[in-house]
Amino acid sequence: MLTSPHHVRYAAESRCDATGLKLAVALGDSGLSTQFFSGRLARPRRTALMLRGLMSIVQTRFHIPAAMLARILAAADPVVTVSSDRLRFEGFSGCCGVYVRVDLLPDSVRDAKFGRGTTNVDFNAPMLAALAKVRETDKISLNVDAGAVELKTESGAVVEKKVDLPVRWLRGLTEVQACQSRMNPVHEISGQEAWRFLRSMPRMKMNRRETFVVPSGRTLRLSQINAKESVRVGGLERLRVLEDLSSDAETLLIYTDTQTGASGWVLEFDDSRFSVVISPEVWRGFSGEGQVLQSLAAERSEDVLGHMRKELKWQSVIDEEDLHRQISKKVSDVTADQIRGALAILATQGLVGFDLHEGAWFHRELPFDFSSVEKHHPRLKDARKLLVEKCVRILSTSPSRSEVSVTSGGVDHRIRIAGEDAKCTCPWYAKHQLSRGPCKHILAAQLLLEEQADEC
Amino acid sequence: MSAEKLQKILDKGDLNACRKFFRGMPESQRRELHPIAAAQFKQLKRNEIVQVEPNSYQRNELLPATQLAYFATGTLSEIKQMGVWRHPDEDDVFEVLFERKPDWIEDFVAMLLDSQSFFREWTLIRRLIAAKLATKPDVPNYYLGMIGCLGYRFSKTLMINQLLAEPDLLSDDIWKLFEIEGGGDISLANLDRFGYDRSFAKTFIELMNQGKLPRNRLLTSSLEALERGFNHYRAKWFLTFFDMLEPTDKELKAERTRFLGLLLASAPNVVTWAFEKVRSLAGSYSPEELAPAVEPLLQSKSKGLALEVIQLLNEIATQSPKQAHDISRIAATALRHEKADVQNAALTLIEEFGKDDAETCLLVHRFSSGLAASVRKRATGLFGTGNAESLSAATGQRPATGQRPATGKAVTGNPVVLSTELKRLFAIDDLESNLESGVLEIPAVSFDGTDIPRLRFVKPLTPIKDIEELIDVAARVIEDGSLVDEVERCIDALARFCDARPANFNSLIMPIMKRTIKLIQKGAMPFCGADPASDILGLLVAFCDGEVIRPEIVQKKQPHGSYTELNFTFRDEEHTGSEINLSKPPGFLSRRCQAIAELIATGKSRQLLSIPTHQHGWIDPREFAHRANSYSTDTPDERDLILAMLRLAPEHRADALKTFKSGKQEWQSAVRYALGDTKVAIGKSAPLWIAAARARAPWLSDERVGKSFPKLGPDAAEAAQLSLVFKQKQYEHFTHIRTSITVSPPCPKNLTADLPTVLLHSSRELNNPAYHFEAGDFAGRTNGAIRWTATLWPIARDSFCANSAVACFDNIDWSEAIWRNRTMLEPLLDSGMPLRPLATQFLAGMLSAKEPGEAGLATDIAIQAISDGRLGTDNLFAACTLLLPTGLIKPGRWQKTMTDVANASVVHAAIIQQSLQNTLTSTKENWPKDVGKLLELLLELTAGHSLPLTSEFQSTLQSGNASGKQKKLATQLLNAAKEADSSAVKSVLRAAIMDRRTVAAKLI
Repeated sequence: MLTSPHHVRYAAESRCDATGLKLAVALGDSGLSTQFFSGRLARPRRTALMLRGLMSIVQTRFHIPAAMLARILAAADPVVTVSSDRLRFEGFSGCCGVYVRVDLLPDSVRDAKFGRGTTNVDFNAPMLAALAKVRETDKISLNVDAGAVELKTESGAVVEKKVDLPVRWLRGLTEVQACQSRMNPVHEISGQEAWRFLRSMPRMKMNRRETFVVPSGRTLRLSQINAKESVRVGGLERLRVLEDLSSDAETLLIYTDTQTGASGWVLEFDDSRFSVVISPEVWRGFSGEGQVLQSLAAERSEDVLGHMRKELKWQSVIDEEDLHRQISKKVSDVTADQIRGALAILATQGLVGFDLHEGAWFHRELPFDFSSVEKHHPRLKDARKLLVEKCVRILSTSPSRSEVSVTSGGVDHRIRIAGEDAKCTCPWYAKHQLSRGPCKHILAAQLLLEEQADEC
Repeated sequence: MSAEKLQKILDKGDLNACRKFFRGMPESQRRELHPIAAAQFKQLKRNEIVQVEPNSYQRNELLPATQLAYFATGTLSEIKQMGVWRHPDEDDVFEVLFERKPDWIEDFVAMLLDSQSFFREWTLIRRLIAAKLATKPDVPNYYLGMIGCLGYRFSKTLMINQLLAEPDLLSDDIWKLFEIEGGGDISLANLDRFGYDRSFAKTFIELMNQGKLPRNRLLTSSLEALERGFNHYRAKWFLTFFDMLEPTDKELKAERTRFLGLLLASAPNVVTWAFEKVRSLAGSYSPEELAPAVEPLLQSKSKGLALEVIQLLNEIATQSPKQAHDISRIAATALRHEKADVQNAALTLIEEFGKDDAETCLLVHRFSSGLAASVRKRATGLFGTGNAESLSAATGQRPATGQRPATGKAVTGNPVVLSTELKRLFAIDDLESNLESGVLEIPAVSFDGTDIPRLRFVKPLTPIKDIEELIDVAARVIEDGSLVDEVERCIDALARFCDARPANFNSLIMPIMKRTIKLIQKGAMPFCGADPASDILGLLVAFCDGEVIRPEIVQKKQPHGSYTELNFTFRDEEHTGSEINLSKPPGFLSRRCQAIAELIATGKSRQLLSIPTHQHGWIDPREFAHRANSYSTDTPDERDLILAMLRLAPEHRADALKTFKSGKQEWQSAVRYALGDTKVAIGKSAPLWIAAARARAPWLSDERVGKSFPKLGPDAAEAAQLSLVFKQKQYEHFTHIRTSITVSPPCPKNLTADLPTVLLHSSRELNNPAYHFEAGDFAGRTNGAIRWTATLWPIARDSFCANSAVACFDNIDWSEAIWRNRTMLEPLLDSGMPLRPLATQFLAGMLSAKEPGEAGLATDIAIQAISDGRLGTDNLFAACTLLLPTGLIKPGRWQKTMTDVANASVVHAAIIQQSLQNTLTSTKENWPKDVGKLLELLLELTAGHSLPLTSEFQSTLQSGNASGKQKKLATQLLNAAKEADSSAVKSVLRAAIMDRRTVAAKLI
């Protein structure tokens, strides 16, 4: 299993006591301002529940492949991003199938001082236990600041965590952002109905079943039929985290990505949001979705990407139109689609995340090493290898349709590409078609066709 | 010399000699000898288990000495490669480490604790610590190892002795056990549950009684553990332990604040336990402290707990009138609870203490939209409608109406004029007459499936146009055989294109052929009745290679008897499988496909007769006649023709008969007969004429065919008469309801494989346990096989439904994870399929299935069937009346699924309400214990939609000898019935008529 070593050092452990919640952030170069965040929680109990919910996902593997039973990976700590007006805590399950984010909006904190930056934040068992006891009437301050904690630990003891993050975990964490950007809202119900619906969900594991959420009067129900306005959900147990939180929510918004079948669930509170994005099936991590492969394989305009990177200034909501205008001033002929594609690529580099509720990207820089992620994308790597080994040849090509032969595994696979549509004769394509991104043969064919187009 | 000596020792496997050999050996010499140990170890690893005599195996006796030698000479990385389970015995490992004193010993300990069997290594680690070879690791697995090791390997006495012998265990380690949750097998909860006489709880108490463990710390640590948010199963140990310590009142009072905190715990059992403590200490809390603390419990899933909390709030409000308003506001949040009882209790409190509080009023109004129908009126009555409206203006909320939308679409323009026949078939006349007389009865449609055009309900299938498309479709089908429409399209194309050999043929087929070979080599069994995908593989082999796989039944002899199996050879490899499915419908598919493969192999292109023109296996008779005409000088394959006739849609048969060019051949007469011609002489082929008779009139026995071919079984010449039979079998701990079928005429002992309508009864042989065991497999063992079986005779699915009901009801409580069973429900989604008694019984039974996927699909079907008129008060009532007294039905499950059905529209609600009360009336002597769940549902539907109760049901409720909760519900129901509104009945009937007209109009 390919891994990327991730070492993180904390000045001390995070803790929660009667005076407040002190979250230790990673030491070192995280691009942080000195004062990261301090404020007082307006709704301590709710915030505590949300952070516990976030951690329950981070610490869970909803699916463990049989061969990996002995290798339960230690998931990375969540990351926190502070921008001008909000805090976002992001986490990702060890099985790469569930992404979770807590957005604390301006009203959720009092007397807040916001810094800028993204970093790991330590969540340990004693702190989680303390969070469980927080009551709404408690007066809890929130400090996210390496220095503040450091002062309390004059012994200078540093907590160091070493995690070998699998490349697929990193890939999934970034792929889920692109997946969210394709999602559309399907259902919206009141918090009370959401709470009842979530409580009524079966406790039995239903991993082997395709289940759909459909409207029923003013609420929702589970269905077994993929009807219009249904949202496919695999592994209902992954939504259990929403149950406790929903009792207090104003609305539950449900989104779906029709391409992959992944769904996004956003509990909206008056001052905060709790979002969960789940993969189509429990056994299907976001890392294998491969929907951004075409963007990655496509020839990049490094110029556009470079300018876009410069425009990232910890925006909590990136205005795509404005960004397009700014980039157009520097790069001529850049289209809105190119900007959108470039944002997806920036997402794979951990530079932007997607906020479902806002329907917009936001800037943050994940504190992980992404250099190996793209390089080691198995399908992309294999496609490039096929090209290097000269296994790909164009049989015919026209502006509307191309036919390519790819020799792989002792067989000549025939790839037919017509516009957005592509077909291959390999078993992988037979099973998934394009629902999990293109197969390596289609990718190789596309790479070759692009190369040829450039030469012309 | 040393090397030779070691080799000799290892060759002999002399463990003692090996121990002696390494004692006192310097490290450098050990390393020199490692290659010998490693080579021997590598060799023996391949023969870890050896055969000592026939059928008797044991561990290789040479291995222990080699393992010791390897361990005694290896570096840490070499030892890691060995695997922890292959380490030498603990004493040997300790001795080696003690002598070697390697600098990697801490890493070695970490490796042991990372292994799966970490708890087995705990004693070794303790010895290493005691010998000062290693420091005590501060990782969860070390402490969990202590639990696992003491729990699994030590008796109670040994456990106490071990703890007393090592002081640091009592002073430090034991307290860590209160901080670490554990998981899987290793936790205090699990060990004490399955530890027989070894109980950590009892051990700790004994040590406490001996003065070795401080009582106060045990009490506090238990509560601290509960505060850590452990899983309910593991948390239970700590709360039980706390109670076992029998805390005094003083000790309990000292922890009063902690108990309040534990009310927020995530584990429900901890919350309930903490509430009991809080309740017993209620006097020691101030009302300001107690009331807000218990508020979250009002949302508890446990109805009992929520009711107890309301009772406590009641007591507080009575004792502290100043707090009454605050408490009524807190109680108002209980109105969000889904249980009507909780909402009622909260309203009672509010009526007493919060009636005059505006803020409470606002809260009640805020939550009123989610109130149960039976409670809503009380809430509205409390504050008045006018008040609610002004409140809604103030809060910007919509007042709750509680009315669900009717499914009837608004009719725009002129309504479609329906023929008298259509009105009769869709029971519109009956509905209109009920509307006139104000009787709330919504009968189901009266068609039997042969009297309406069926093709209108399904999509047409497009034939595959070329080899390229064929390969795309086939590639998909061999990966997923459940795509049965694609399977049929593929079979059709393979038969049509078998003579086409384009220039690039070989390159076109190469990838799929490679995959086909791989799948067969991996175990796929073409033409053995396994699965449609496997049969496609066989066809592909014939198409690409011209080779036909021909499985043969082989008799195998064994000392205790003989058995049969299916064998075939493919690419010089012999494949073996079961022949059991050959006598089932998927076996018919396999035989049909094998016959097609023979044709394909000859390269003679054919238009097959049995390929569906529409989904679900339907064939348009006009297209069938057209295809059959192409055989005027030829004879079609008999199985192909049989299947084609069984798949004929009921419409256009007369047109097809006119078009069909009749000849003198027997098959042509059979086709004419199937299409409805009366002037036909019955021929000699039983399969052909039986299929023609079943296609011609599926529900009627055919006397003429019966005379020629008597006693061939149910649905041969004689239409099967089926009914479900339920028998209770009492076991020690549970009662099993066995479902079986009575069928007339009975099934013959030897089934004729070419009578597919009889094969659909193949698993029904009453009083034969072996046959019953196979019940689940009447349609094969895969989703694809089941789906294909449903397309075999789409016009008459009674036998399919009856067999499916038996298979599914046998596993209704999900005692076995049979995922494919749900597929059997799928045909009921077809809007053109009438829900005859067996189908309705199957559906109603599955509404009580435990597995959410099965119950969920049954719910979907019920919703759809009511919308399209196939499920009405009459057939649902009849099915429910049959099933409810059998013991098969769990009323709680019916309550849940029927609530979902009723939520779809007022028509759905009315059908459920009427059917249920009629069922309860007719089964009043045999109500199940928890019938209250159904009464609750009836109450909500009656109150929510102002629907009436029948006079018979009212008499049943009045005369019933119900007591307790049932009596209370009966009274509430009778009161609700007083509010019934005749206009509500009329509006339901109008909506039902509108729905029916919309569906019927599709057939014009």
